[in-house]
Amino acid sequence: MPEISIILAGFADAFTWVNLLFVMLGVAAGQMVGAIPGIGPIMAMAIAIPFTFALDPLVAISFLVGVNKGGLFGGAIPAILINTPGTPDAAATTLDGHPLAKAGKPVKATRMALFASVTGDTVSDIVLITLAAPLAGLSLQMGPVEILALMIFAFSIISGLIGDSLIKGLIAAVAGLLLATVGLDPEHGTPRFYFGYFELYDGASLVAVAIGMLAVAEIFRRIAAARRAGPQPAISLGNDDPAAQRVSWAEYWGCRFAIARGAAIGTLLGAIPGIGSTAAAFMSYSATKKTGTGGGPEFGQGNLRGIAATESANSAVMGANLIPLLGIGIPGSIGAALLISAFKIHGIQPGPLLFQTQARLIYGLFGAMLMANLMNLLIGQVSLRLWARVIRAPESVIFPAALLFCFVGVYLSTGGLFGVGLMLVSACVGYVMMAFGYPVIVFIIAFFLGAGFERALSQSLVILDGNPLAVVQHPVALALLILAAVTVIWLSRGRG
Amino acid sequence: MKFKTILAALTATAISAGAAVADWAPSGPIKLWIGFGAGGETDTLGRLIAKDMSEATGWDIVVENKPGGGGIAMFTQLATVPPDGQTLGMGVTMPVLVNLTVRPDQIPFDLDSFDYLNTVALAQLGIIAKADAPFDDLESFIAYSKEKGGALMAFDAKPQELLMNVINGQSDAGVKLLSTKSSAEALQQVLGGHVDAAFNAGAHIPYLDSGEVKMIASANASRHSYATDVATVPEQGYDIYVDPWFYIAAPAGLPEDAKEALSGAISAALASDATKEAIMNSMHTEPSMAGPEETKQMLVDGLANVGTLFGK
Amino acid sequence: MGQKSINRLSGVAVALFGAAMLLWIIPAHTETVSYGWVKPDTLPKACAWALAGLGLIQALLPKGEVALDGGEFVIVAVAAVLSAGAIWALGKIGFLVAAPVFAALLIAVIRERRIGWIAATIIGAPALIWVVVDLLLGRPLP
Repeated sequence: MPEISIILAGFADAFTWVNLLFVMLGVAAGQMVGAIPGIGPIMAMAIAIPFTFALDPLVAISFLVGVNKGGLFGGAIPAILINTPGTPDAAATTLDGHPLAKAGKPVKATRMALFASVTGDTVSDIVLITLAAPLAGLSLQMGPVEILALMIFAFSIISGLIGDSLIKGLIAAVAGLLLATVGLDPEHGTPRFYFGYFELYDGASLVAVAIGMLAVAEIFRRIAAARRAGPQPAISLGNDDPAAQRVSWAEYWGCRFAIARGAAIGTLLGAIPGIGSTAAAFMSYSATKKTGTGGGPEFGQGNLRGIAATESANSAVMGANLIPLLGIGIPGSIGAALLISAFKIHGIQPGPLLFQTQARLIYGLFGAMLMANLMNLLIGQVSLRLWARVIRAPESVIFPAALLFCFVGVYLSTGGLFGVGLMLVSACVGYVMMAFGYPVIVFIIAFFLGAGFERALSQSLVILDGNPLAVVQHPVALALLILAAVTVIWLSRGRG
Repeated sequence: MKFKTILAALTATAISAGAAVADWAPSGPIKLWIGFGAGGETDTLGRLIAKDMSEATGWDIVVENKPGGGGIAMFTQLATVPPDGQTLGMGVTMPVLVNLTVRPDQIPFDLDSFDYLNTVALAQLGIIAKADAPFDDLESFIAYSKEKGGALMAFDAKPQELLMNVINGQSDAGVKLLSTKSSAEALQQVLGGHVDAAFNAGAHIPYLDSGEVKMIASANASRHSYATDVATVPEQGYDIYVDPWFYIAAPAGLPEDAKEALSGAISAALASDATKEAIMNSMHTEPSMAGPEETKQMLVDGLANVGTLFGK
Repeated sequence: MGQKSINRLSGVAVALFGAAMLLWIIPAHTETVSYGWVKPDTLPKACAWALAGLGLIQALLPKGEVALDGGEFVIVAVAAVLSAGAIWALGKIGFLVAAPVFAALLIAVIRERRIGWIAATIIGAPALIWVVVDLLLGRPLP
């Protein structure tokens, strides 16, 4: 722990007008791009990094942190309002967020998402600020065998999301895993299933597949519904009575366990790289679903706890991703990797000496993160009203426009029309799966985890010399495997 | 704008020593394609160069990411656009050379499909181990591996695996190789004690300073600027190395004046203090600007070297 | 077609896909390597076997809900075909021409008649995207 005077000086650096301005700009930009399907905070940060070169290091990094945090909440806005997640992290938010919006409380649903997001984020930031060093040591202890066990544990949460048919759920999971094997194989680097398209060498793009299956398929369905219903008035926002759109303290307090659980799951999975925020959100949702509705509507029909659980978890991941970054210089996610490159451009080398050589800057960054959380809350209140107003346009406007945004977003983030084509194919597959009753969400999670799973499997077998039973020499891994088995049993209890 | 262009041309001439005064100018925005996704080293480098080039020359330079197969997707597309100097591509030699060696019939281009403009930098690749490991160089590492019945070593690209296979073949070291996604992940495995050694391209440098990691060898043909006392793999008795160069190319058939103007502008950008500093900061290596001829030669030699790695 | 036979049908399709992977696609699109625990075709083969097996079970013991809706399916298919055309057109004639036409066709599918909203969609949305992406962010559109 550095001298208290350095800590205070760092915080003082953060709380300047210039810094405040850039954090605000970052948060506003992040919320905007997060809300547009396909363009997420990652894309926005990548565009912004060269421009930050001219800025003071702390200002530059504060701005990028603002973009990242704003984007976390931004993705939830279209997920709730029109059932199409703006970023893959927000996929789980559609489950209860959109039903509540349809029930006439869109502003209430987005508000709950905002409060949960900011709470989860703040909790994980505080953990980061106070415990970064010991927790970073924890992530070093996680070798390939432990990561493989953690992945298997993550897969086990899928059993909580499988719908009424076990076989169909398993088929969706296996198919997702199969899609993840497209591209170079992790052990030998040989290309697989690329059919002459070199864009597939690195695997099917996560963004293209997720936006296609979750957003575009839904847009197609809504276009069909709009045609059948005939010319529609504007999307109903329910009653305009402000009281109905408010999230009362009692309601927020009623979600405290869901939020705390989400923050804990998110912080832990953020500190240990490899699982990602999308899966964390689903894990949190799955766990909260099991603990009861708390007197609200059923899960999947607009339960506030469902929204709170997912949003606090995915936001907490992002804060905690900085634990391995600042503690040991290892990025826990693409967003964290982008922050590393911003650090490096400014001549700051993340790593073991960072707290000794750059303590003042790090505490400045912490100050900026807390400031960004506050800004997220304030600006979020404005932008959720703004978006709720935008979608008052009739569906015949919203959905064609949203489809164009998906096209452009995926075009930009995958670097070409091939990604857009992949998005369209994914949308069609997603639609057919849904029509035949196969759970798309399960497919997506298996796909997200798949590439890392195969690599961890390959690494683990090298370490274990091909003998799976040698896992008994890795107690952490063994414990996680047992936990996975318990989770499967716990989550599938009560399904016929 | 005109004045700026002339000024840039002058600077370029001054720096690339002897390049003709370029009266070539692009007829619209120049696209600089990056063969990797946003946020990687190539992307950061490319954007810095583009920013500096357009400031110096007044040209409008647009950076686009075209990820896929370590640059194969981008170069495949680059080979098909007209050679008018309006489209350039930046990549790393290794993935391209490996694919041209292993599966030439599947790759729709070869070295002659491009005109080479300039090198950007050489990635410095080291072999590292934890500071308290009971070995300090390749020889003692090999002895350790034999004694242990196969030490574990992490790598993150095919040529590194091949280099180690050659050493395994010549010494019966029996080192077991673990494929990781990135230098950072390989470093994490070393620090966490999950592997005995690893290849690393820069992420390890702060740990050298803090004394948690030591370097066993440089895997390049030359020693590293930050660790001149560590011998290279060839110096330690194995005639093999890996030299991944960042470089910029254009479709083949580029007019001579365009080639000179572009190459000169890239050299000028690399020589600017800001870019130099950023390259030093992010990659711990000096920028290099070899010019068209030497860049081409470097790729030809590189292809032969990769052939050796694969035993072809 | 009843729910049961639709479920049976999808099971057969999954099983056939698994079989096709095993017989043709995996051998043709993976390379053979001589060493290592996890070979390029190890995980794909395991998945394909699982799909073939699970598909057969689904075909024999059809279970689960389906949400197949013929009318919706036709309109979704039309929208998908239009989107495929739009991707082709984006590559050929560029965003500024293709995007408004695409938006106009989608509006026609929905049968919107109010001229103000039509204008907002086919002119407003592409123009907004173009200004933000091309001008403000400096990222070229096709």
